[in-house]
Amino acid sequence: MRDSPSEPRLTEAVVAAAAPVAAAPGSLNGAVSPAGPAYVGRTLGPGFWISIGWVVLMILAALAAGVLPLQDPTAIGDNLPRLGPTGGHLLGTDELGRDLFARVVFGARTSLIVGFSSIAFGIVVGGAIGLIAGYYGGRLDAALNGLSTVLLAFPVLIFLLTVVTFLGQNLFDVTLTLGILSVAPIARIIRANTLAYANREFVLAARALGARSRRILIREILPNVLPSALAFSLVAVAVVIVAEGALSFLGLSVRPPTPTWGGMIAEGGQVLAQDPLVALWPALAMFMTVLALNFAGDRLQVYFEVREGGL
Amino acid sequence: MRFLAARLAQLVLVLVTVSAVSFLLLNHLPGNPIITLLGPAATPQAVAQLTVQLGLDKPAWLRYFIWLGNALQGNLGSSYVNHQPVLTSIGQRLPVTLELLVLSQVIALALAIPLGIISALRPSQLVDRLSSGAAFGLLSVPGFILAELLVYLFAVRYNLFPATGYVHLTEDPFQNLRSLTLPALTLGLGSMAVYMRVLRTDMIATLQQDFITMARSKGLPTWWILLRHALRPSTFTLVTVGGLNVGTLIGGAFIVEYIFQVPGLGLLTINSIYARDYLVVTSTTVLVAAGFVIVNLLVDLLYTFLDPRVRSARFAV
Repeated sequence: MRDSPSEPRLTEAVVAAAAPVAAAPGSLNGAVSPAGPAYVGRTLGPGFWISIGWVVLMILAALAAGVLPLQDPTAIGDNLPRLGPTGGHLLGTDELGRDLFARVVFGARTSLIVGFSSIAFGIVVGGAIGLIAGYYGGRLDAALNGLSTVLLAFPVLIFLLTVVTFLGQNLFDVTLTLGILSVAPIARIIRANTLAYANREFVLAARALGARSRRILIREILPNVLPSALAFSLVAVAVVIVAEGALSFLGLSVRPPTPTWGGMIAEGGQVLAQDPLVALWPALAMFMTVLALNFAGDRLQVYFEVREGGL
Repeated sequence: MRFLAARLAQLVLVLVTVSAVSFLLLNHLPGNPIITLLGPAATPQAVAQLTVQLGLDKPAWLRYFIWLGNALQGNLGSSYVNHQPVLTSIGQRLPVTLELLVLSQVIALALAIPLGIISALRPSQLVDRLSSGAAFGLLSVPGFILAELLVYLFAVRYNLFPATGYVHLTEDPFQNLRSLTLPALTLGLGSMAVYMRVLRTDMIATLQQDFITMARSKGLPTWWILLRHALRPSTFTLVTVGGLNVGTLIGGAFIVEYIFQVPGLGLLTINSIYARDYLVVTSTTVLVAAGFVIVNLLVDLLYTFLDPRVRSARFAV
């Protein structure tokens, strides 16, 4: 741990950099109050399950959007524009007479697919790199350090803007870009966690028994690193959803007419004076989802930390 | 000294990599400044002529080295679009971004420090629960949503502050402050949530240390202990996170500047990306990266001021 003083800083930097506007470094830094009663962490609490419930509901809605009895979210002119919320249109209609409820549900598709897929990519690739770098050290470790220093200093939005313009504004390329960007930060965190376990007694015992490095990595270290990675990845999904929202807000994510929350918020922003509800619904959906992911990730982190402390 | 030398080497490495990556990346984007200048209906002859005139017929890597050579001599080139020297446009935009940055951080710290201290003094009590909850909520509000919410409340519903229309400081200082209120508030509230949380966590840890018990047993008043004894050693994470935040914001708060049309570096960068104005974007990107690295260096130096014990540990490498 020769660079231990700068370790926590860079971890937070990564998240701060991942979403310049609404970063959530605090939630990674641990809202664990040392003075708080210890038993709080022993259960996940109802808030956690409500949050998970909301996220699951959003995922189900996004998956089933095609088969739900919803109006066509892109059809223009089927309804009167600027209807208030009524029985026929739960959330009303927008300037072009599109049903807002259908658009919010279909918008969840973009946000959640991008959020979960890119972090899944980041966890698999970044996790593997972090495990290997943390366990073996050496050149790979040094290269990883150098790479993340450069990446941290690079303004993320500029990077996103150019890469997405270069690759293309479709779901796959946006997901891939955000996934690749998440690799270095995730690798750093996994590396730090791996370092903490690499020299523990049980690893030494396994090695003394003749276990190969691969077995030690997969059977001894990975199960210990996984819980905090899970907690972190929930927060990371929230960061990516915000990043995708910012891109689509600027009109640079998936192209219209595909509904996206960020795009809907930008459209609603044009008519704030006449009809603030158009921007409210997608904003609320995005806020609730990000809040739920942050909260669940935070609770999970506290939960796992207490369990370790109790050992 | 070795510490400083290593950091300077790191700065050079970061700047060269960042400039090369952004330059080459931008040059591979579809479209180019010629289209921006002449429009899509230009004749092939005009396009060819302008391409040679701007030197765009040379390969990207060659143009990068030409730019790098000039940049090392203090010449960042000129915009392809309006022919203004890049240094001049940065000189015009940087003060705006810096003013916004200072205002937002003043708002953030003015709220975060008192709230953080009170929360840490009585954890799990009313103020702590309310402010921690609010901070957690604020952390989950993306900047562009917060911006629209503030616009709706303060510009649309109650016409207190303008939503767009930046007024320059030299024109009218009061209107200047008014025009920057909403953007600064958007950035400041986001930072405030982060700052409050980290200050609270550190402060709770500090308040459990022996020297605080000592101060209490001497009968010192609580406010004196909090402000004079506990605050400074509790600001390590705050300074770190704040430094990173400021380092990021030096390049302009892209989305916030875009929404409120504040003519800072962020807006310049976004517009230049659309116009494929390669030299401008590369220069601002390098500036951002430099700012980020330098602010982090300053933060590291600040540690020694906050806690002299760090000095020996850090410089005796």
